[in-house]
Amino acid sequence: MGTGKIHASAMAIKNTKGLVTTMAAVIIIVVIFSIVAIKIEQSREQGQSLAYKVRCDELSSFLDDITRDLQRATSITAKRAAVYSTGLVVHNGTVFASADTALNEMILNASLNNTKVSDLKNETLENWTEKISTLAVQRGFATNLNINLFVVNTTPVSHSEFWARIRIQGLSINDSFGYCDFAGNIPRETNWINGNVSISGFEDPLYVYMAKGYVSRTIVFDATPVALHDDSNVLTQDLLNKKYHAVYDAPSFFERLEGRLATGNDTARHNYYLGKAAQALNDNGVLVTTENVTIGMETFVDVNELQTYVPTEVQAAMIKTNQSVIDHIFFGPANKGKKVENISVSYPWFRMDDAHATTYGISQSHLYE
Amino acid sequence: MSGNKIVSSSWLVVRGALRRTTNHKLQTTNRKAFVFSLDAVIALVLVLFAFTFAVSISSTRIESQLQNYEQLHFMAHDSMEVLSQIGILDEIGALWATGNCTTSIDNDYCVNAANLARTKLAALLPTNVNYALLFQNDTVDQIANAPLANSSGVAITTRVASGFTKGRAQTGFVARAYATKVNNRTTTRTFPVHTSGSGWSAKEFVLLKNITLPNDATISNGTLYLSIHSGSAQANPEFKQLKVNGNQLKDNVVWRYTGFDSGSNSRAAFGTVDATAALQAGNNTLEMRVSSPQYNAHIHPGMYFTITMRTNQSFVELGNVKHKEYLDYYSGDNGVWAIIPYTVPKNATGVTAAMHLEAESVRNLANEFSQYGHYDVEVYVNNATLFFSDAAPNATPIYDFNLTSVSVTGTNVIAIYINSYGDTAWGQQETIISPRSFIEVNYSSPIQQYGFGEIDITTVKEFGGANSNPKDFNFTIPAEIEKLYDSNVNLVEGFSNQINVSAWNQFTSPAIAYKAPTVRASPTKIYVSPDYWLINGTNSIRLRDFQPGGGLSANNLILQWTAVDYTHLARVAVPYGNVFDSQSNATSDAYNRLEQRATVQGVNLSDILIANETIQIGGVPTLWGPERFTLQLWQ
Repeated sequence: MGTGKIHASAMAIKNTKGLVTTMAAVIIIVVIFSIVAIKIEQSREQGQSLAYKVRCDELSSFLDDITRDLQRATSITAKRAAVYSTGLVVHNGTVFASADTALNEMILNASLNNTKVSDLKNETLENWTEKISTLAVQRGFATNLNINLFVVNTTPVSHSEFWARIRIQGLSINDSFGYCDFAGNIPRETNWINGNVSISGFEDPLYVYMAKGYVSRTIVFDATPVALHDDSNVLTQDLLNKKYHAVYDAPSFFERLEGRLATGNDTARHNYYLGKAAQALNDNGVLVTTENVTIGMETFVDVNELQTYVPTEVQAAMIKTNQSVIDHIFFGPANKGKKVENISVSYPWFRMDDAHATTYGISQSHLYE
Repeated sequence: MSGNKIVSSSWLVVRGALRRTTNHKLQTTNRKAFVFSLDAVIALVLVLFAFTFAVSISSTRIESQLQNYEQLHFMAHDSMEVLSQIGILDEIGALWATGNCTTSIDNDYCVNAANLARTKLAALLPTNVNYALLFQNDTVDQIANAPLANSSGVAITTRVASGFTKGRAQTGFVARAYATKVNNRTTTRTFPVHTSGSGWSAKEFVLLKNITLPNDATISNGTLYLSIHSGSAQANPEFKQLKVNGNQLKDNVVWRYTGFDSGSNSRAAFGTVDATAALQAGNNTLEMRVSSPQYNAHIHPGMYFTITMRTNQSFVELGNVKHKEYLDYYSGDNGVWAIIPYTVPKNATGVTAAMHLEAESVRNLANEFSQYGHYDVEVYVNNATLFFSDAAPNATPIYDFNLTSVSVTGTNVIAIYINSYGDTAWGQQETIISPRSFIEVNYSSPIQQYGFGEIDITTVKEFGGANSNPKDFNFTIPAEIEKLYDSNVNLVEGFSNQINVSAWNQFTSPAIAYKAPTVRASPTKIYVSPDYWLINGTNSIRLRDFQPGGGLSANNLILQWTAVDYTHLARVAVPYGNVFDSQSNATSDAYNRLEQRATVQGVNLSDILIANETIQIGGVPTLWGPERFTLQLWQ
């Protein structure tokens, strides 16, 4: 019996130990499996996080890409619109009532006064928008991008350059996997994208328009500062090479498309474009006022050229006596000027008005009747 | 080491299992048994740790791959951003597009594009990263030390760029062209010799005509068309003199038509003579002396100079026209007469017309009207009834006539007869119409001025065919013609009496465009209003020469050299055309378009100087694309 008790007691002890061991095993199993589960979950989340990161980065990159290419596309369409506009003036003798409005319409819709312009077909932001939308879909993005979201505002910003300022308003782009989306304006950091167009090398619409289409002149800017022209050699070279000069009160390229002279009745229009230029530059971080931004350009009229190429019947209304050869003065109503020493001897028609003589740094003592 | 540990653990597991079997037997025999023995737990722990370790290893490998991909992705993105920001992508795109490349060795453009990509990407990427830069689907450059297919991770990033397309330069040229004949323009002008005459009974009729050409004129051709009635059946012994600036040309005439009138033993003749060498810039004189033994010698319709020259001067009368034309010197022995036309264009306003007439060596014949039915001086204007007469002129009479009230739209005719009593009495001395005489016509033309860049273009269409009376001619005016503002019939006749011109087009009926008011009042140049003509349609003219009795004369032939001309203002210009990669192609295209445009307007560009030839704008971009640049990175 005693032995049996001892044996039973030993058995109880042994059973309790097993139970503990079993419990420990269960706990260990649970802990180990929990660790494994957590590790697997961590890996899954890390992968998902990377996918988010990559897709959002792609979306951001796509937006940057659009922004950058929109600037390029705007420059291209604006230049094509400017070429077409110049062609209209120099070929048909038709000037624009409002050059900036016309350019805006051409850039966006390839139309002028709501009539499609065949020359600009496939050269507009509308075409670009369609292509970008297709690329967005290919890259797994859905977008509401369409031409109605675009705002364009063209303006001269210097004598030699204009900007087609553009933005996309209310753009939304959604990642098709649902990771990221974008709702807002393009560009994201500023108000406008500036598509810049240099007008150097263009035909001067005003000169051709005023010369009734019989002569042409290409815009080539003079490298010599305007105020350093009190030298007959410099002036003569400018005359012979038909150079253009940046001058504050001269008409800008836009005014030239409108056939305006920037003086007299056209002064208000000149101020309008000065205001637009100053605003554009300020928006772009260049702090200027309308008083210190120059958008105008001018050139010396070659009277001999007019007399050679313009029919005599037409010359009568164009060539008067003692005209200042500054183009926007020459073709305007108040056009008198004085002869300039050492030049008017060779070119008897070369005269300059007092104000522009000052602009070019020509001493009054070098002027004579 | 770890492998050995795993082996010994397994041995413990086996031993634990044997123990569990023994214990289980005890439980079965004694009491309820427990699940795990200590050994088994230890074995289990070891197994689970091994499992956890394996899972961790696996997880770490996955994390490493993700990190690797992330690194590649941002590397690709950043590299592309750098290429884009510094403009290298643009340069590569421009080279690849211009070279029309498919592979990086196609031509120099492609090689340069690949080298540019290699230089920049090699500097941006670590050496253990493989890359491929693609323009659309073409590989511009790649470094592939390991094949892409075996890579453990690939990152792809793209950029779009507008303004490129393969096979075209990034920017091109547009050109336009326009023609002007203002600068040394070549122009052909006719200077009519008005119908006139009277050299009776073998005495002379003398014509002295002054032709003033521009001082800058360079004459390339001067042809005198002669249409005279003189002489006899013989070879024109009474065609005595034909001098241009003193150069005798009478033997140089090529006679193209002759008609003999047996009744007056005279003949009508039409011929041409090349007077180019004799003509000069500035003042020129034509002197002709003819006579007729049994009739009066005179000029028929169809005598005129045609002179082709280069000059800056315009002959077009637009706007407020003040046309003043001096008469030639006409001397008839005996008596003299002349038919002087002037034109008032249709729709002209504010028309005034006047004539200043001076004569010399005029004889005051007493009772001439009662004797011959004519006065010493008679002037008719657009009518068979007298406008003015003077029965008692002095020897050098001077008259001034206001013709405004009798002027009509179209061709007006003034017929002047001095000491000219028809076939009845021939006067007794030389009579002269002085070249100090003139006609002055003022009006405001319907077209006030040249349009933008317009030049005037005159097209002449000769009738051709057989000489006949009546004579019909059909012609068309091209659809491109606009601003038609002047048209004339240049009449050439053998014998002549009273011409009648009818004009119509395919949609109208024949209408009288001009009718000579009286006999022998047929001018050489007859204005026909352009309103008769249909642009882009068939137009017709019928000329008939009537006898005094009203019937058509079989002898009064209208000759084949009769012509109709029309003048229009046109802009011979073409606008900017397509964008071409080269300036020469753009300008060639513009010139070809200009040539086509000019041809349909009746202009041969070789006849006029092209001012500034063609105008081009360079650097013109095209909104091609956007094209895709793709950068692939892999390891």
